[in-house]
Amino acid sequence: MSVHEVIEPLHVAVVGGHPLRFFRTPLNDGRPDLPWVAIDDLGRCLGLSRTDRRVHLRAVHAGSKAIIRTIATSDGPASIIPVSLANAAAAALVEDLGRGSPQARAEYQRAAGAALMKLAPRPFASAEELMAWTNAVTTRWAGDPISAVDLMPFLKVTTAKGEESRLINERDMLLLAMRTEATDDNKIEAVQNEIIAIVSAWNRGELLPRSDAPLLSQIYERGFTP
Amino acid sequence: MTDSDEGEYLLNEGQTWFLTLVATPEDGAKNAIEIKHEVVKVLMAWRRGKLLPRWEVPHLAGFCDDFNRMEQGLPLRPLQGVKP
Repeated sequence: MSVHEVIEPLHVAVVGGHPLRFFRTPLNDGRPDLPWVAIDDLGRCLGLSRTDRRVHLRAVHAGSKAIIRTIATSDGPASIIPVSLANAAAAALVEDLGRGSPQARAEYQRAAGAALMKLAPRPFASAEELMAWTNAVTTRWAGDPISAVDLMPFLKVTTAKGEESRLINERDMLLLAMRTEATDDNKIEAVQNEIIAIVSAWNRGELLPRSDAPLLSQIYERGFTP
Repeated sequence: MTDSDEGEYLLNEGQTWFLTLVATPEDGAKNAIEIKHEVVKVLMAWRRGKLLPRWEVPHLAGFCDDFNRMEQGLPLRPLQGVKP
């Protein structure tokens, strides 16, 4: 992407009474990514004083030197960073240092969510695809993975005894299969061997035939056929 | 044998994978949880008949690269996954 190519914002929100511009990722690696935000706008939107804005910009430039990009916009050059990094800076400024407006920070988070919704591919074919995309964008910039239940709390079920359980999804089933200890009366070792065979083949750049993993194939056919 | 007289074992690929799957951070495997989640991504893609790109599973790809280097007799990168 040329720095001279004028980029239109993905989303413009009003935060703290000022416009805040979000952009699509400037990285053209084909990976899912979060929206990026104009950091020059952010300090003003959060209600920082002129001095604090200068400190904030210096800190962002120093801390995100390898990530920050400068793009051309119809309003002149703008420095942008992924929203997750801007979130961390906003939290530190408002919560830890007591600078800026908590109300504006809440507006910023809602605005970042609205920008994200303009990026998300839809409709997702399955809950697993939604989870895969969500985790690809959230972990790209060192965020923590999100579980299906974090994202879709309606999957939680409270039993009559007051214990919390939940409908198991494909991800949970596979994690459980890896963690379960093999005994004489379960077939978990065979399932674990199939998992290993699939991942070993993947490492060689090959797709293991389904017939070579009959137990997993059977579990999928029984429980996870869309 | 190691300095502390603990036995050393040469593991094959299957045994290495098995230990990776059962390892936990408490065992000293710092990326154990991340690798397990990435194995799940590989399996979910396999179910759809797809080979997941290596960049989508950076921890797992790094682990595999180490294993591949070991197979080729090349020196390993500084150890990140499993405590010696």
